[in-house]
Amino acid sequence: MENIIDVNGLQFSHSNDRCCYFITSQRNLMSFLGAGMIVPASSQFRYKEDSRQCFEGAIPFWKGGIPALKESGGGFDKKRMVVVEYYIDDIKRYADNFIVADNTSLMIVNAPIPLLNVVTVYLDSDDEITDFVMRLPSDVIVDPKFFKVLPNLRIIEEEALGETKKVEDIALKVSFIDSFGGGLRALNQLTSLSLENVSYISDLFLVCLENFGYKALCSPLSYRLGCKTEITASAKCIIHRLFPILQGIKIEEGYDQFYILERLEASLKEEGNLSSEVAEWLVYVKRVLDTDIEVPILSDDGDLFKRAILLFLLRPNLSRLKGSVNSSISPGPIVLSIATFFAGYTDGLCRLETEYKGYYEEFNKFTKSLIGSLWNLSEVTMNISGLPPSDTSLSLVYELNQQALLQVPVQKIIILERVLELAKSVGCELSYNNDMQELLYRFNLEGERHQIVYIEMMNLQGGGLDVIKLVSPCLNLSGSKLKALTKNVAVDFLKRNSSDSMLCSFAFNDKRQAIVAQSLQVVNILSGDDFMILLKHVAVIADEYERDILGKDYF
Amino acid sequence: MRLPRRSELSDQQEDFLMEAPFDRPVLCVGPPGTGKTVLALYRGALLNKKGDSVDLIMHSKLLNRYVERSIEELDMDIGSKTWHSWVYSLWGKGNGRSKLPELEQFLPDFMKAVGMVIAEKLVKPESMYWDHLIVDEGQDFPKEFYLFLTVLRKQEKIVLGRLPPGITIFADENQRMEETRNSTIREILSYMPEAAKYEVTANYRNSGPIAKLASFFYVGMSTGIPDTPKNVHGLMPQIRRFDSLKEELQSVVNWLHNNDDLSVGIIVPNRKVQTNIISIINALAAKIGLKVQKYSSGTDANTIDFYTNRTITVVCDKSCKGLEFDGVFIPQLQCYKTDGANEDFFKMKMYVMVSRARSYLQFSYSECSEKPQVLKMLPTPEQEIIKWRI
Repeated sequence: MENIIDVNGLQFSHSNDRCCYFITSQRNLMSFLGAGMIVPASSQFRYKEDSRQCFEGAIPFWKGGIPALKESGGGFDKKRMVVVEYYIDDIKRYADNFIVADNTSLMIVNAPIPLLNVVTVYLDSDDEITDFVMRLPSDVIVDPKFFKVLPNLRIIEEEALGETKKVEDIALKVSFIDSFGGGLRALNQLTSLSLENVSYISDLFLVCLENFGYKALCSPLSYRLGCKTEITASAKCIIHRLFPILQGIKIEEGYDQFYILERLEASLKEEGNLSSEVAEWLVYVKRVLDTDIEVPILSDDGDLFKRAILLFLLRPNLSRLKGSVNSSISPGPIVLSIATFFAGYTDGLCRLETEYKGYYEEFNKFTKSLIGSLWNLSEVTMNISGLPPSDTSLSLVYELNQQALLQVPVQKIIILERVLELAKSVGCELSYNNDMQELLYRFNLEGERHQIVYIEMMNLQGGGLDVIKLVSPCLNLSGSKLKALTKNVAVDFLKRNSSDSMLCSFAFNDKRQAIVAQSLQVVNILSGDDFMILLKHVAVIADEYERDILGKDYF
Repeated sequence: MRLPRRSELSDQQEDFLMEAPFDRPVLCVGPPGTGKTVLALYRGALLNKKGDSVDLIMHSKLLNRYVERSIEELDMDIGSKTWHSWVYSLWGKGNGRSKLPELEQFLPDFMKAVGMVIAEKLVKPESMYWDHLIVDEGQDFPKEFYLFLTVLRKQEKIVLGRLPPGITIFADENQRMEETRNSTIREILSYMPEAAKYEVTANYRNSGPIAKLASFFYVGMSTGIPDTPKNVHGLMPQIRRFDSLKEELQSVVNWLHNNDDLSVGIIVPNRKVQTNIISIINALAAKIGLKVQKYSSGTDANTIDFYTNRTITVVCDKSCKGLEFDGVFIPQLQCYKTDGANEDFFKMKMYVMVSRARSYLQFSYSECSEKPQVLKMLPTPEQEIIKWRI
């Protein structure tokens, strides 16, 4: 083993046999703090030579002390030397099959090790600690309590390494963990988006994981979400090609939209997967990027995933995406959040801005869970669980291999929960349709008639009001039945709407392909009794139309 | 404005920020566009964190205006001044009504001032202490200014047992504004021999393809142009032909509409074209709520808004030095005349215009029966430095 650090004059006496020590530099420590993990040299952002240099980039942990080193090598500067202390057992747990060599004094590891498990980080002096912490860029988050002045560590005897394994290049695997983590952390900003539907998130994760070669499944025990947003086949095909391109981007080297688009096109052609639909989409995106045509408003309509890719190409980083909310693009929350995942994935954890990282401990707990859920595994099971709703929120927790990685607030379910409680307070049990994310109630009316009423959520437009729509169908217009809506019938509905006794109105409901009686109500100011009166009124109006005009009881 | 995150810094910039000492003078040298002003602000932020009071001085009023606004946005406790204002104010603190000696009006005679300091003729020397001074555009200051600073920071009656006042200088001798009243790097170092020197050479302002085009036009010393980092992607600059000026300008409006979080500059050859363009683009821009402003060297720097999104700045080529925009449009190429005799002059002009663009650059022409003469001066399609869309 080569000697790498000149520690002349230091007297080593501090010893902890349960601990091991990795010797590096302040600049490398910055990278570890930025990513929340210690990684082999080939996986590190801006690697500067340190003790890993002697072990093909794998991480050497000296047990119980550090070696007596004479010769200065690898450009080491004692003033800026850093010694990172871990428990040996912790390292063994994470390194598992990736221990390259192990003897009584040294363990060489080729795996990502979470920073959360660090016992202490030693720097040369108090002045160095203060100076280092002060100079850190804001995206390198730190907790100064882990820093201590380097004590006189025990000098350990050098020993022949014995049998060593080949150092496998794990850069791509670590880079995926970094990228996927970046995407997840970027989604932390979802709290501000008032999402009504998060069903797309699980699909996005599964596609991303499958794309990297994991066998990814959604647990059958998962919280059931309405499947409103499925990835279309063409979007899936594009996303499959997009992820490897994004993973390969190093943002410090710059990138542009056309570069991504060209590589995407080439990749699709190479696979023979360029359908006419996708080819048309590529031409369209190119024209938008070339400003040959105006950028559209990217609301939550149509193919949300393709829209999200276009948004990402137009605003290809997190800060520009954040600003896009008030721009001419005006993206819908779902489109924005998918694009946000792409941007976070491109940045990766290491390069992510502080606002997405959060505080030191929370961020490092996250990276530890992330490593635990993905490192050295070939299968990933995703489970979604719903946290008990509070007065103000309901959250879904996304777990990968039993490691909780993301908590997403679902705004509109909170509204329905409130309505559910409101009805319950006056003795009425509404039914909850999870798939459709709506409530429903079946009235038994006079003359053995029946009428169903749905309670739908409305898109929130600010102002802090929770608005619901009470909807009761009365005239089925699906398929060829639409012909029944003649001019006279339509005028009759409009006349009925103007009646003084109407507390609701007739409307065409696209989702149900029917004429419905409907009423908008603000949940915030609604009492249980008033709610039931209005709910019944909507049911009665719809039923009266069925009874008097159609002479039937369809709904 | 925000301070760059780590991945946005070059290795050299990171070396400077993480390692440049605070207890002795520091000199950071680099050609234009290498991010020296950003480093100056970053250094100021570090000194703020350290608890030091910071003065940031520079020569140009325009840069001062830019920096003032950035300091405001970053919520930093930094006093930003022009160097005249700082020097005269400092002297006033230590000497009351006794004026700073001058060679001519507003040109301090630093050698005489140094003589007075050494002869202990200051009225209140302790008031001339400062915590940390950051000098941007250090090449534009007289060399004697650095001797003056060195002498002040070594005067016991000024320092009074405190740490010697700190100094960080950013300079580029390729950008000297005047032939005489300025400093070379060697001169600065000769007056501040203990200064730790750092270099930044990588292009920080322009994307890779724009930097490549800029270097195509560059005709000065190799030290005067930043290194183009390898493998840097970005949109290739393009040249387009339109049927009318209105269409040329519509392309600007479209670009800003699609990128309304970015800034746009239109660089024009003369005031006549500037007036013509403004009269047409105003109507196009107004339709979608974009703002148009014009800038020329006589314009009061305080009236220019470099920060509001959805703003198009129309600027004459002679006044564009020191400005930068996300997207730069250079329309009406047919109005630029060149012949063999002034080729270098034309190239340098092009260099300055091109290097104003951070990420997007478009040349264009219209309404001319023959191809503009200057097209011959641009890289050919085969060189793949510029995308020809004509």
